[in-house]
Amino acid sequence: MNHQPPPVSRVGWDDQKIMRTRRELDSVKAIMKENVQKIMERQGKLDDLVERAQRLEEASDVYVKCAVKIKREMSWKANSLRYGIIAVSSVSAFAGLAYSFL
Amino acid sequence: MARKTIDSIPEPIALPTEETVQKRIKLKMVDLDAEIAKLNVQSLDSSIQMIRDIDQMNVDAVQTTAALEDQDEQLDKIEANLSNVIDDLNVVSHNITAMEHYCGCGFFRILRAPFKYFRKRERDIIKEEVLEKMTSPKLRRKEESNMMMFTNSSKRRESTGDFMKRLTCDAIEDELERNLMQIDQGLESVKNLAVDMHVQLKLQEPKLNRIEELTETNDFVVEGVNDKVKKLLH
Repeated sequence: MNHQPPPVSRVGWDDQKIMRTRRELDSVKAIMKENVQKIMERQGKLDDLVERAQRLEEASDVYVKCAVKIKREMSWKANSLRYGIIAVSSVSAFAGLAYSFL
Repeated sequence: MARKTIDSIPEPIALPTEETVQKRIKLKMVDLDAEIAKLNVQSLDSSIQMIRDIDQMNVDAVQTTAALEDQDEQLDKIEANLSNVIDDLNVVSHNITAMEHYCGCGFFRILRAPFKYFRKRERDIIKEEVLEKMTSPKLRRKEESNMMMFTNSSKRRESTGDFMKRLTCDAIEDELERNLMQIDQGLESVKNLAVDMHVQLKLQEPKLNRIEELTETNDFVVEGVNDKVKKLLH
């Protein structure tokens, strides 16, 4: 729709191969600009992912501590009767031994 | 009066002769030739610099594309590992529930049962949606099939002719023509690499979104498991 004639210094400029090379260069620039924008968005997402991973690590540490506590308490509860019997028997044996020396 | 008037007339200026004019024209001709040769040499140097820059661009683009592919593989591993983590956490959650049934007080558990079954939390709804989205492969295929497909046209490679119109058909212009041809080929390679980068980034975008959703689900599951474990302590 451009009715104006092209400038004198560019007569036949649409037909030259170097101008097609320049247009290809412009398209490459556009693609790379879009790539850079996507990479920056991706960088933001990866940063969020790193933060979430750190929080997950902290939560897993809390879980490990709680699990160890539960394990210890359950171990004490399960073995309390056994430990009581051992204590009573040892005390009575010691008392008997002490009485025999008197 | 007459003497002053006659004396004030200036002497006439000597007009240039043909010899003088030809000398000036010759000087101009020589200057133009030198100027054209100078510009040709500058163009040649510039084209050589362009070739070096395009070679550097090619090397950098190849490295970037390789790095993006490596990151793509790493993202796949991250996704698989996150799925494993979620499965393991679900197993842990079931085991903790079994522990609660075994070790906890039965009376309060019986009282709490209807509230437990009727109540549904928001995060559980989100988790169910995410799990459904993960397990259905159709949606995944649809996402991946929506990508743009780039088609490389090689019409301009077939066309013949010079890049620019010739002014002085000498060796410098021949070398300039060869340099421009090499620049054109390098630019084609750079364009292909840029398109490959674009495709890689398009591929990785849904993977990152899935990883983000998996991570969010993971956070909810870990939080729930931690709550259960803390309840067991007291």
